[in-house]
This record gives sequence, C-alpha cells and structure tokens, in this order.
Amino acid sequence: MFAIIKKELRAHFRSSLIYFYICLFFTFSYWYFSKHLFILQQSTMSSFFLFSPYSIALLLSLITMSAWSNEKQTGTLDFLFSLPIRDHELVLGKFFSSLLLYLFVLISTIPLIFLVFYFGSPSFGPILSGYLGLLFLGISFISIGLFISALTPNPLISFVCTFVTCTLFYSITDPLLTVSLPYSFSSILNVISFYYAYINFAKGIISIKYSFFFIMTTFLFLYLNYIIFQFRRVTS
Amino acid sequence: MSIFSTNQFFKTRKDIYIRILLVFALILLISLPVSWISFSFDVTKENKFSLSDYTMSLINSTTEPILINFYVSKNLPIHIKHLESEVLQLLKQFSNHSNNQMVSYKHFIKPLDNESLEFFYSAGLKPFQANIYDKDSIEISEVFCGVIIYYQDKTFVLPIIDSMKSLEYDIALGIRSLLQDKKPSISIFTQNTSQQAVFQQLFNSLTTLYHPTFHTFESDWNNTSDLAIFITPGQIPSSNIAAIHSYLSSGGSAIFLIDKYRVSNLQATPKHSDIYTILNPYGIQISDKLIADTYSESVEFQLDDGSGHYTQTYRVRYDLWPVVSSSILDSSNPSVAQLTKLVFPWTSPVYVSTSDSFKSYPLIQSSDSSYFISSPSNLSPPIRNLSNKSHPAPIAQVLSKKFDNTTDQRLIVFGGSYFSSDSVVDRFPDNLNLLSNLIDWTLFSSESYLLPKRLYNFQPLHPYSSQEKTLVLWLTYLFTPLLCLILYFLLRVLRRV
Repeated sequence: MFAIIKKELRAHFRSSLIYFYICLFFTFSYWYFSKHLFILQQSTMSSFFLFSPYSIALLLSLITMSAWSNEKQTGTLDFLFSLPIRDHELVLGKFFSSLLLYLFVLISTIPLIFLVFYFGSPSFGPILSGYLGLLFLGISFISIGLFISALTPNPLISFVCTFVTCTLFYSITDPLLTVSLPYSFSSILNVISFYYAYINFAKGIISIKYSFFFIMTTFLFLYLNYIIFQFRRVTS
Repeated sequence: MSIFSTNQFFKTRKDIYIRILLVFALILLISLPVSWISFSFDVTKENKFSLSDYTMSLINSTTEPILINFYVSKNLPIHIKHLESEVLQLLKQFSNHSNNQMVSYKHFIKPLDNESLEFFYSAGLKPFQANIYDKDSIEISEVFCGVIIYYQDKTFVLPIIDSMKSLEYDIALGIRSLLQDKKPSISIFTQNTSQQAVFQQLFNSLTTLYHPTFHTFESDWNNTSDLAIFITPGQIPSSNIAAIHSYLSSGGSAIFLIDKYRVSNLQATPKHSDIYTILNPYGIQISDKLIADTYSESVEFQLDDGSGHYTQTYRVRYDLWPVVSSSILDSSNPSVAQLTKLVFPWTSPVYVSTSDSFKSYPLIQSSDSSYFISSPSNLSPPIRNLSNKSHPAPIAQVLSKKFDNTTDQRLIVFGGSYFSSDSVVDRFPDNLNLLSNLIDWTLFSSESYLLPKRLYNFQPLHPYSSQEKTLVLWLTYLFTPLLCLILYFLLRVLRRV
C-alpha cells in the first residue's frame, strides 16, 4: 500500500497541473475570503468555510478524476491486478495518496489564517473545527471521486459526475432542489445532507455524531470501490 | 463472513450482492445508536453552543419542577425542520444539566387542524409565514414553532422561534422571570411622549424581567421605582427636581443618558438642561466637547444638490461615531466583558471629581486615537481634526456606594443618549446589551449579564491603514504560489540529481 501511495504522490507532484490546481484553489479562496473579511469587518473565517465546500468539490473532482480512469485507459489496471497486492490495499493506497495531496492543499491556505489573525483577534477554536470539517468533507469527496472514477474509463465523465455528486450531496437540502420533492422524502434528505453535518464544524462544534457520519460515508464509498473491482474479477 | 474477500476475490456475483447488503446493514446498525449521541465539543471562545454557567446555576436553583413544552406544527419547511432538531438538542441540555432533575421538556408536533390552531392561539404562540412546497405548487402557509415554560401556576411563552441565535438567553430569561416573585419597577424619563417612540427597543427589552414605565419630565413622579433612567433631559419642573433629589438621597440607583447637544440635520445646537443641578453635587461634569475618534464607524450620508433634483448617497468613516471594541473594554468588568462592539454617536466626555461618599471610575473609554471637537456646530463629514492631541476619553462613569451598609447605590452617567436609540441599536445590538447588563447589574447585583447573547458574532478588525492592508494582502497572496513554485523546481532538481 505504501508503494502505491509513494507512486501516486510522485506522479502527482511531477505534474505541473497539480500546482496549477492548488494555486487556482488558493486564488479563489483568497479572493472570496479577503473580500468578505474587509466588507464584513469581522475577524472570522466563516466566509472561507462556507465557500470552500464548492471549491473543494471542484478540486477533488479534478484530483480523483483520473485515479482509476487513467489506469483503465492505459491498461495498467490489469497490471496492478496481477501484482501481489490485495484490492482493498489498492483502493486504500489511492485514497491515502489523494488525502495527502488534499492535506497539502489545506496547508496551502495557512496564509488566510495569518491574514485573519493579523487584522483581528479571532477565536482559534472555530478555525480548528472548521478545518476539521473541511478534512471530513474532503475524505468523503475523495471516496466518492474514487468510486466514480472506478466506474468509467473516461476522466472527463468521472470529473463531471464526481463534481455533480459531491455538490448534490452537499446542497441536497437546498430549497431549489427540495422544491418539487414530497415532504417525507425531503426529511430523509436532511439526514444524508453533508451540509448539516459540515456546518456544525464550521460554526465551532466538533460533533461525534457528524464525525462518524463522514467516516461512515467514506468507508461506504471506498467499500463500493472495492466491490467494483471484485465484480470485474468475477465477470472477467 | 468477512466483508472483504479472504481469497483475493469473491467467487460469484451473488456472493458480492450478499456482502454489499451486509455492509449496508452493518452501517445502519452502527449508525442508529451513534445518531442518538448528542455529545459534542464546543470549541468557541465564548462556549456559544454550551449552556452558560449562569443558566446552569439558574436551573439548579429551583426546588420545584420546570416543564418546557416545545410546540411545532407538522409539515415544516426543511430548514425549520433542522431548527426543530437543534431546539430539541438545546432543551436536552437544559434537562441534562439540571442536577436535581427539576427541568424536563416535552415535544409536541401538531397538525394544522382547527383544534390545534385554537390551542396555538390560546396558548399565546404566534404563527409565521413559510413557503411550503407541495409537488408543483408553492403555498405560503402559517407554521408554528414556539416554547411554553411552566413553573408552579405561572407560564412564560416564547411565541416564535425562528433561529437558535438567542434561544438559550430567551429560555433562561423566561425561567428567571418565572422564578422571581415580583418584577422590579423601572421609570424611564424622556423629555416628551414623542421621544418615547425612539427608545422603544430599550423599553421592550425590559418587559420580560422588569416592569418599565415611561414618564416625561413634566409629569409628576412619585419616586417609588427600583431604578430610574433619565434620557436626554432638558427643562425639569422644580417639583420633579426635588423628587429626583429625594430619590437619589434615599439610595435610589439611576442611569443618566445626557446629551450636551441636540443634533438635527447634522447641525449641533447646545442643549440646556436642569439635570446638572442634580448631578453637580455628585461632582459629575459633562464636557462641552464631542468625542471624535479615527477608530470610528462608517455611516451613510445623503448629499443633496440643493435644488432638490437629486440626492447622492455616500458612506464614510465618521469620527463622531467612535467605536469601542472588546480590546478597549475592561475585561475585568463582567457587565462589559462579553460585549464586542459599541458605537457612541455624538457623545461628550463625562468627568467626575473626587467624592468622599461615592467611589467613581470610568466604565467605558474611547480608544487611544480619540480626540475632541470643541464648540461643534456643523457635524457634516469629514470631521478630521488630527492637530488635536489624541487620548482616551471617558464615555461613561460609574459612581457607587453602600447605602445604609446594605444595598448598593449606583449612578451610571453617559455623555450621550443617541447610542441607545432604536435606529442605532438596530445596527449595533451590543449597545442595547450594554444597557440591559447595566440594569441587571444595578437591580439584581446578580450575574445575569453572564448570559450569552448570541444575537450576533461581532469580532471587529483592528484599525489598519490602507497601505498596511495592501502590503499584507499581497504578501499573503504570494505565499502559496511561491511555495508551489519552489516545491516544483526543488523536485525537478532532485529528480535530475
């Protein structure tokens, strides 16, 4: 598994594209956050935490789109299957390499913390819990991205589907979406919405229940990813 | 049977389906008990999402049961449905933290039929309008979400709950009002009845715990109140001067909000008042100057072309509206420690000469960058007079003494009243909280001002110059792209080596 993580990370950091993604993500976050910091004149990072789920959905869709799709296109997936590595180790290897990359992205936003501490005296707790929320949201998005990438050999389709799915899971309780749904159905959406789970962290509450929710979601999609390979083996 | 295949892969499709079902069942099985766990860590500095110490001491002080009934109507919109679960979590906290098990709650979901509607209205719950989506149509319907607290034969109703922001405060306030035997009386004096409309929010905020009544300086006063608030006094009949004198000399506490100038259309005219004949014996002096500060609030003004053809709106930092933020406020004084941003429009400094009987100290001071405007007349911006030496100015003073060695007598004097008017407290809710804290402090000597007021989240920025802002913004922005660039080239060099 460590060999896969190492290989994946090396491939990511060799490509100049990943630096472009990180700079793009940072630029968007920086632009949105600094604008709100001075408009609202409030030393909080809440605007960053409220905006980030969408930009993270975009970024992680880009990162995970070619995780399995590229392997399928180039035929290296069959080679990987022939190696003495278990399928779940393969899935976890891909997952942890994307997670490490995502951690690097989160670290790249540290200047925003500096900015808010320079111009005000914010409370550190909500910033910490907000980042924890972003981490939980990120691992769920990565697992969704890997699962969708395993379904299709086309990275573009994978990207679009991952972005739509992640955004949908996040904003599923938005009145725009729930408008035409029956009342009982929209109540169920409330339970599976990433938004309500994440918003607690963004406010400054580290909730056991919602931490578990994100971990379970991640586990579920990683398991489904694993099942896809099992299916492939059974059918081939 | 393991959910992962031990033989590298599953044998048949059926095998896979069974295991998928098994995993879903397992997740559901674990999720159900976890969903009941409401335990969470509140990591905010003010513990905004946990019950305050004051609330906990309050619910543990009762020896008779308190029942909190939470009523909601069925088919709530999804965002209010989520509010419902948050309210329940808070009520659970009330119940759990009641050591003597005296606080309990019940949750009622009622359909919007005639019988329920009759109940809602008779109980004092108020409906609010919400968009209810039904298939392909939107229906604006009235929904209910409110709380009734029962204690002995008394009830307290929170008619509408539409957010969590001040709910703990509202419930705790309700419990406290039920626990107290008699509401203390407050007399609020204004110059005339039309002025009373300007301070309506202050009046309304007091009705839960106190019995406030409006008076004018012309009307006779029987000086039997527990607290008197004198707002922008002018001419006072001699009978009332005598009554106020007698009230203060008998140990009565008072809050004075005194304007040295009347401000109309940004023109200041000196305001004469008989209140100084009452204050002077206590050594209280209101300066003729106005406090200005470069650390001030931005205010919107309208510019008229004179012919009445058009008006132009513009917003500037207005030095005559000085800001007092939490970094300046005295953190050791609990009545102001929790406040984060106060704004004092057109305020004069208040000075107190030493007195043998009263202990005095400034309650609120402006920032180091404040300065004075002498003999103000035209108050139109810009008001920059930086040639004056800047130093903090006393905005409010407290005089206190032990009366008859038992009760505390407090006189609190502000050099202005505009900060407590409705239009200002709408924008700066901490101004109202300051007054309510001071009233609680004066009347109860309790720690009710420790109640969290989650009406807002003010964490104002420090003062900064535009050059400083530009420089820091650029430095911050360049950090990450530079880091990426360095990492990229470093890895390239390492690869070549």
